[in-house]
Amino acid sequence: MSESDPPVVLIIEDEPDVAESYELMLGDDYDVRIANNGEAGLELVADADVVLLDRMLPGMSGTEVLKEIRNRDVDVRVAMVTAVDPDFDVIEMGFDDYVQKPPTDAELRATIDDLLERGEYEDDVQDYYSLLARKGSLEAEKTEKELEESTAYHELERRIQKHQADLAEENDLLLDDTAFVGALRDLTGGPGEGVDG
Amino acid sequence: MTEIGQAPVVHRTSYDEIGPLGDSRLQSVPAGSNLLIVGPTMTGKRDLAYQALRDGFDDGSEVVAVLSNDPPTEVVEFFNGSPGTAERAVHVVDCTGRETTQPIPSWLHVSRVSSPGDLTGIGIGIAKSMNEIGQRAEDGLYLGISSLSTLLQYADPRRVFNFTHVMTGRIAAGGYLGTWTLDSDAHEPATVNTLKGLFKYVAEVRERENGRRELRVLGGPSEWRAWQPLD
Repeated sequence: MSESDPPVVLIIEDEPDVAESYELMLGDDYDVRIANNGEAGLELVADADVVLLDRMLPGMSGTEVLKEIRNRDVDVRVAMVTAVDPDFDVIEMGFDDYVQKPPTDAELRATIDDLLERGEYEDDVQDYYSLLARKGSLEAEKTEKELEESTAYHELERRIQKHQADLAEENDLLLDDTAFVGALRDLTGGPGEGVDG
Repeated sequence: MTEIGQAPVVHRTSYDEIGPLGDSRLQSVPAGSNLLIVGPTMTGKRDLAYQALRDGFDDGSEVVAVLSNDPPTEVVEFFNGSPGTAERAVHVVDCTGRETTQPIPSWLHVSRVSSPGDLTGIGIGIAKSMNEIGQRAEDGLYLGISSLSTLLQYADPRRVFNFTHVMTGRIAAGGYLGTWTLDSDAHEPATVNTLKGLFKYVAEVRERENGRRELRVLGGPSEWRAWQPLD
């Protein structure tokens, strides 16, 4: 996603009326793509920033589509659209969030914007890792005196402090369970399956 | 490097036998922060971490302990005899992937994750425990993660870093207290340094030639930086 292009929202929804209503709500601010079944959706997913995935689809089910998206390791966040309140189950199923049917314009936008923000957060964490890993390597290779005299090391420290402050502002979003587990899923690549108790 | 999958045998004394041990500095770390206890293998870091959890529990806080190496019964030993267990649970996220054969007391609530490498699963276990705790977390919540070294045996350093970043971030945002352990001699120095960078407070443990252990804490008041004997 570049700065100027609107984010791409892929809607996988088998009922044309419903898909069209989402497009009407979102079309002005997002680049909306529509697929009316799971197979078609998977062909478009590589370009998407956010996917709104209907749980009940003919053919491949929503959960199967999600599984395939995760298998492909696409950098995308997926919200399930469902008629029933799925509660915590949705997180364990591997979705990043959910929207209850029928969603209002505001709910839909809030969910999409929240997921886009999470994508940025995850990119920021990766940048932060690169900086800290470089600092960690320098500290392992050089003496304290050498570090003290290294302008590159001080510059690195300065950048780390700035990143740290920026990321700390995002911490509040982690108090939400879906955002917390979603961030872990995207950043640690784990399935998050098989938790009992 | 430590051997994968082999739990180190550590000489331990249980809480009841010796009473409060450790270092008052570890009990003075403020809520909303994360403490990393780092030092060579087998220097009692895990006991220091459990000690902090037990102290917090006795003071009325809730406890969630993530276990990657020890069976839940190790935690039972530490919390046996606490009056708090009469009224509230100690929560454990067991990601050892091993079956427990020994009986678990009713005050120990265990979630199981299939492997220490399933970092998302650990997060789900923590979220579930915290949902069970609910509003009571406002009275204080201690989260113990023991140990990062086991996670590093199952997941690459970047993934473990990301996990630690997200987890410490949630602990900071919620005003909880995180207590983590890491073996300094079991990984590349660069990996240890990188992970240390995520912590406001770092407690370093070292063992002297005479076998006595010493501890200092970085990140707090300057007087905490002095090495002091532990035993």
